[in-house]
Amino acid sequence: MFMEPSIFLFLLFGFLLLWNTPIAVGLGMASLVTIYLIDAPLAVFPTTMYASTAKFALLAIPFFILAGVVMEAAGVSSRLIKFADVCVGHIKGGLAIVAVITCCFFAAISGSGPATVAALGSILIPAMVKAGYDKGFSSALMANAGAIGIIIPPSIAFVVYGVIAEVSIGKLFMAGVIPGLVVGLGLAIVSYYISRKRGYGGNGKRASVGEIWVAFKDALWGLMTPVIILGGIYGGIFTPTEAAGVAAVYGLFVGFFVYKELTLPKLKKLLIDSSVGSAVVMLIVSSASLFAWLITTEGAAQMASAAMLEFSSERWVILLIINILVLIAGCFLDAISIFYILLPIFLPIIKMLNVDPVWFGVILTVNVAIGQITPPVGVNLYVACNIANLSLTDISKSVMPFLIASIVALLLITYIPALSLWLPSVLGM
Amino acid sequence: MARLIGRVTLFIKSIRGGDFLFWKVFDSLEDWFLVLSLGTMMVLNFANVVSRYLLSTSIAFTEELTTNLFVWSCFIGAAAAAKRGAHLGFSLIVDNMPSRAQRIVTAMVTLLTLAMFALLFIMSLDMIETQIMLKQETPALGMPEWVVSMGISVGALFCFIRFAQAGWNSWNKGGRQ
Repeated sequence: MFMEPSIFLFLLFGFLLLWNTPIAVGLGMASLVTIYLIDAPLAVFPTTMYASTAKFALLAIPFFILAGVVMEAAGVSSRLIKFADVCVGHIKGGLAIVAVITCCFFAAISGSGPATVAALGSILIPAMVKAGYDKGFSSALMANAGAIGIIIPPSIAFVVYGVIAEVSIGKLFMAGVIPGLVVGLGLAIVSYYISRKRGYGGNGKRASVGEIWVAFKDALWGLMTPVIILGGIYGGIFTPTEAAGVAAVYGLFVGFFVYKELTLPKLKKLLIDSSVGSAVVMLIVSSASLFAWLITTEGAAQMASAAMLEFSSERWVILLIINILVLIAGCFLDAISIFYILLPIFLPIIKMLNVDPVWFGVILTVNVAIGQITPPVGVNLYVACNIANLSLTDISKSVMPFLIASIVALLLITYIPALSLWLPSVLGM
Repeated sequence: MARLIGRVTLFIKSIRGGDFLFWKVFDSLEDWFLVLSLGTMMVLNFANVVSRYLLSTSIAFTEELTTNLFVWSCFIGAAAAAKRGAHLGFSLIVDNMPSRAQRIVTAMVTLLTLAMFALLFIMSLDMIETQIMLKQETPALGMPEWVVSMGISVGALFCFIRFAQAGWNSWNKGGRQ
C-alpha cells in the first residue's frame, strides 16, 4: 500500500467526518476501504457488527436510557427539582445551585448526559430565564451539569469502558460517585460566584422545615432509585445490566401507580425513543469495533503506545498527554467512539505503568464527559441549545467558565487517585 | 411501454408522498418492533431477577434471548434513528456552505452511507449461508444461529431504506439534513 494503512485509516475517517458523515458511517466506511486496500477478508465486517452488539453487558445501554426517560415522564425529575429548590433555592444563585444538585441526583438515575440535560433542562432553563438569569448562562450550566450524568453511576460510558477494558462495571460505578460530586462541586462554586457578581438572587424565601419535609416525601420515590441501583449492585442482588432493567421497571411502577402520570400511549413513545437513542450509540459501538479490530490487528495500536512510552515513561506526563489527546478528540467525537478508537492504544500503556484500570476508566470518563460540552461536536450543547433556542456560537461563549471548572476537576481526579479508588476499596470491592 | 413508464412515474410520485401505504406500514412495523423488543427485553430481564430470588432458579435462556433480541433492535433502531436524523455528525462546515454545495455534499454522504449498508446486507447473507451450512446453534436455546444474525441483514435493509429516504428528503429541501 502507498502509505501506512493505519495512518490512512485515521486520515480517511477524519476526512469523512468533515462532511457531516454520521460518525458511525465514517468509522465503518474508513475501516472497510482500508480492509479492502490491505486485502484483509471483508467477511470480518458482518461478524464484527454482530459480535460487538450481541453482548449482554451492553443491554445496560437501552435499559438505563429507558430508566432515564421513564423517570422524567413519570414526574420524578420535576419533584427532585422542587425538593432541591426548597432546600437551597433561597441563597444567591439558588436556582443555578438547584440545577447542579438535581443533575447530580438525576445522574444517579440516568446513564446518559444528553438525557439528563433533556430531562431537567426543559424545566430548569425556562425557570432560570424567568427568574432573570442570562439565557446563555442557564443553558451552558445545564449542558455542563448534565455531563455529570455519565460520571455518577449508572453510566453508559462506564458500561462500554468495562466491556472494552474487561474491568468490573460494578467497581467502576462505585469509583465514579465521588469524582461526579467533585465536578458538581466545581460547577456549583463557579455558578455561585458568577451569580453573586451578576446579582442573580435567590427565590427570596427560606422554606420551613414542614415544607422541606413535604417536598422530601414527594421526591422520595425518585431519591430511592440510586439506592436501589447501587445497593442492588453492591449487595450482589443483581448485575449492573440487570440493575438497569430493574430501574426501568421501578420507574414504570412509580409512573403508573404512584404519581400516575404515565399512560400507555406515553409508554409506547418512551420505548421507541429509548430504542432509537440506544441504537444511535450501538451503531457507533459496532462500527467502532471494526475500526478497533483493524488498528489492533494492523499493529498500529501497539506502535502508537510504544511511541508514547518512548516519549516519556513518567506516569504523570503520560496521563497529562492522554488527557490532552482525549480532550481534543472530545471536541469532534462522542464518548463511545473515543473509547473504541483510543483504548486499544492506551490500555497497554496503562498496564506498563501500573495505573489501576478502574481509576483510568474514571479519568477517561470525566474527560469524555467534558467532550459532551466542547464545541463543535458536543451532544449536551445540542440538547441545551434546542431547549433554549440558542445558536451553538452563543452557548459556546457561556460555556467557558464551567469548562474551566470541569477541567480543574479533571486534573484533581487525574492526580488524586484516592478520589476514585477510596469508595470501592472501603466497600471491599 | 409508454403505459409502463407512466405507471412507474406514478409509483415513484406516490412513494414520495408521506401518505403512501408502504411508508405507513413500514413506519408502524418499525415502531411496533422497537416497542415490543425493548418491552420484552425489559420483562425477561426483570423476570430473571425475580425468579432467581423468589424461586431461586435462574431462567438460563433469558440472557441469550434478550441478547439476541438486542441485535435485532439495535439495527432496526438505527434505521428509525436515520429517519429522525438522530445520528451524530460534525455539521459545522456543511451548515455554512451555500445551499447548492450543501445539496451535493449531502447526496455524496448519503450514497456513501447506502454503500455501507448495501455491503453489510450482502456480506451478512454470506455469513448466514455459512451458519446454515455449518448448522451453528446458539449455546443455551439451541436456536439456529442464522435466526439471530438475520437481524443484521434485515437491519441493514431497513437502514438502507431509511437513509435513502432521509437523503432524498434533504435533497428536496435543498440539502438541509
